[in-house]
Amino acid sequence: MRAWPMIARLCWKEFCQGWMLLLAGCVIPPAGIMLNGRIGVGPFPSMVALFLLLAFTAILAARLAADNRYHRSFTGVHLPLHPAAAGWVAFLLHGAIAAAAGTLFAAWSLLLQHHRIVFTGIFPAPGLLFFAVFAIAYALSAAYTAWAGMAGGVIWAFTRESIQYAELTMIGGRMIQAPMHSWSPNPLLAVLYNYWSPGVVAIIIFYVTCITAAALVVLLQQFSRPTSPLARGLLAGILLAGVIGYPTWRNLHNDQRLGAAYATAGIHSPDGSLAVEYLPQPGGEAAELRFTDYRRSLTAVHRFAEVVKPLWLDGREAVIVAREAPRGTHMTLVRWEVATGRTTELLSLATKQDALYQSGYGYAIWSGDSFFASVSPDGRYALMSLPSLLYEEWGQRDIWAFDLSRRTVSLLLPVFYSEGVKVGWRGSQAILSGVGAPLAIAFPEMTTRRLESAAVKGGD
Amino acid sequence: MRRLLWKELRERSGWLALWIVVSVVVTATAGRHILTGMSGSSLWALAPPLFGLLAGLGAYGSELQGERAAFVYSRGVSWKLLLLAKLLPGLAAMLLATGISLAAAGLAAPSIYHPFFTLHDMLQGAGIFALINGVAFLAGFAFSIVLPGLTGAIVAFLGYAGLVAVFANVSDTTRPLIVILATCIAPAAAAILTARFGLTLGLRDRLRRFVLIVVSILLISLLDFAPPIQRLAGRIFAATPYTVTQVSPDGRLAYINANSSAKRQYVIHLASGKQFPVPDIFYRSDTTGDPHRGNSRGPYWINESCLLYTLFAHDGHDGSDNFFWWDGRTMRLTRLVLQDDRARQIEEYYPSPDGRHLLLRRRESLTIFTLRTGARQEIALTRAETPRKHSGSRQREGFVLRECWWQANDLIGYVDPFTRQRVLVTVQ
Repeated sequence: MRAWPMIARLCWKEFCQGWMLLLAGCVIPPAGIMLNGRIGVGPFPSMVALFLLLAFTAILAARLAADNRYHRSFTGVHLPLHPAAAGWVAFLLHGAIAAAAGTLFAAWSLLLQHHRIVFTGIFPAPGLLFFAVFAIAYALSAAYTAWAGMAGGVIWAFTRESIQYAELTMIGGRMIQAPMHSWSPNPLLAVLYNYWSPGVVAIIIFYVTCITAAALVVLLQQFSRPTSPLARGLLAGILLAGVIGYPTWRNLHNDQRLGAAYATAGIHSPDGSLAVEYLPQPGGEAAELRFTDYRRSLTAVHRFAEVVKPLWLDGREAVIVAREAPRGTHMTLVRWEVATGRTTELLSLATKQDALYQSGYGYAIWSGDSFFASVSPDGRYALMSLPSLLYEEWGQRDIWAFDLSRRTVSLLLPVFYSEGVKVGWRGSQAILSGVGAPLAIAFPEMTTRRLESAAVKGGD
Repeated sequence: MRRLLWKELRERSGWLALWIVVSVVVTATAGRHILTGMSGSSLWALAPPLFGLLAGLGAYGSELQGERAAFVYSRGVSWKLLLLAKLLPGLAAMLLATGISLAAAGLAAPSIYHPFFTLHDMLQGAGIFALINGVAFLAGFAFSIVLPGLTGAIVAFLGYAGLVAVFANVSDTTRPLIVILATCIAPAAAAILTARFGLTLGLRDRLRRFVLIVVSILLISLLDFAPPIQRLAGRIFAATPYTVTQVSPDGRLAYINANSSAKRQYVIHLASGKQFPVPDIFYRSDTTGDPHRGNSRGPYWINESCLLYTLFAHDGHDGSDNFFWWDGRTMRLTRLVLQDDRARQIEEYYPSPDGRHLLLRRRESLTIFTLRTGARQEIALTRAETPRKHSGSRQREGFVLRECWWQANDLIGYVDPFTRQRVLVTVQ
């Protein structure tokens, strides 16, 4: 028998084994949408649909590899093929089916949720993700056991960065509008707008590397024992890279020091007559601030050599700015007199490293409702929420109290839930309100007490 | 029993040690929430329970390979003793992990935080830490009894996680606690019954029985719509009362949303204690009154005396801004109806220095609104239409009105987005 007809027959056989995956890729999103429409709950199709399809892919790959490993495949009996060729065809064809299923899944999801297909959203990331899961599960199953292949494939796929990417590119229905309204620190959103940021490219490279490494393991199978230490070591490396590789790379990478963050980080007076805004910069840590007094048609520009953030206006003549050296662990409050351009250091406090400007995220800590900086009407006292030093992450906030006249600062409330907190000032007393009874902070003593009066608590 | 315990320790000491080490390292370096009564959330907090889960997942796996369970039973060991021998090392590891983690976190925390750590918070944090880790260990323990080996247990756990995700989606989310309880009880019951009756069975028989028990319990939990169960559950899991308070920027007034017994919203004058119930419109979720059709923003204070609550339909149209404001003696309601697309608008209010007027800035328009009379004055931007002739969003973005201000109490100013000229307009 000639080679090509034989390979065609082999492909048809493999397709007959794997067509269900394609069907699942087509059926799961519409089924999810129908379920969602009928029952009206839950984020279906989202994580659940993706979980099912990726689990299905991993199980299929693991079983296929186990069949080949234990010579349960009868391809060699029916077709005069070298076992290695049969193994390669099975690996590549089923991998292609998995990639096609992922692409179909993404296309259906986008079509059903947005009534149109965004081609930048379905190509090539979802296919690569599915192929990578298939390859990892296949290789793990070949080197260890089928159970290990199934579990490892699913776990690898659901490492945080992978799933975030998959969710955004395939089923990011509710998130698709996010960058239209506000700046998002997540570079992955950019893929939907055909903007290939370094982060996106890194993930694609990462997937391709994983697929290549898994293919190498499959190749090793042909020449050595399937459970060779080399194959197992290589696979353990891939899994480890899947869990920690990309986040580490992103943290080390330092290329996004500028962006739309500058446009959103300015401040203005309540009546709009004074404004402080960033001027566009080509990159780097330096920032140029422009102060405008619209009533008097006055402008002043100052270039800061370090990362800065305007916090509040000090009367009509000065701006209080937070300043931080790159990789710094201290933040300095500076008074910028706009008329003379002179800057005076007020005080300094210990913060997390890069608290003002986190590499890769821009002004991440300033976004959202959990940040606030508020100054008393007389400009003597202030409150500010900053990322807590007790946590590695950025979401937890401490509230710091500033006595600007004495130039002192002290930690007031560690790990304070500051989401949606508003600050009111009654003379030198600050009132923090939000959920629960308001908190009164008396300056200059910096003592706190709950406002427990029945009326404020909600009783009669 | 001692020999059994020794066997378990030899088999699983690696995972148990890893669990303790990860707990200590994470709490000492990344998330020291154990010191603050576990207040605040941290992704790092997931690491210790994850290793607790792994430690649990390895519990029964070795007994399911070959004829090991039958061999253990042939030595006169009861199923209860075996269960206890597998549980005790895990629970001991949990206690050790909690104690050492607490000490390590306290020693590693920056000194400025030390005055804020209280015994109550630390005990609470340690208790919750132990509970979460214990539950994770027990969850792993339950799934270790289904398929052979650690990877078999992981597959069983992942399969169940997928099932729960589907189950949570198709069940009514108004009864989440019943669902959560069922999803916890089902594998626990299945594991105990399998430990008693199914340990020596073949893989398929054991898997079938485990799945049957789990699915039966999940299906039974769907019966909670029966009115008596529903009422009982409602009584047990009654919504926690909450109060949202927003004090005005000058600390004179406070908006209260009290959900203690009946939902009540009012504004209180803090000096006199006088209360003013907010108007009915503040209770609605959109201008049509249909909760599924619309959206709302606020309420929030836009200056010292004015509370704003915005309503608009789901498509962004039919919006209204409702101002509940202090006129010096009492609170009054004034409405500003805006028919166009609110959801997509960039808009911001600028109160006049005396608080009598509001300037509403939008993408291509300016509106002055007088609170006392409800009168509105549209400022026609002469060049506003010109940018429409250009195609492409980038050109249009450049002509968005951005700069406007109060020049005086009765005079506004803006910079024309097209000509960049300063324009002053008197309030009529």
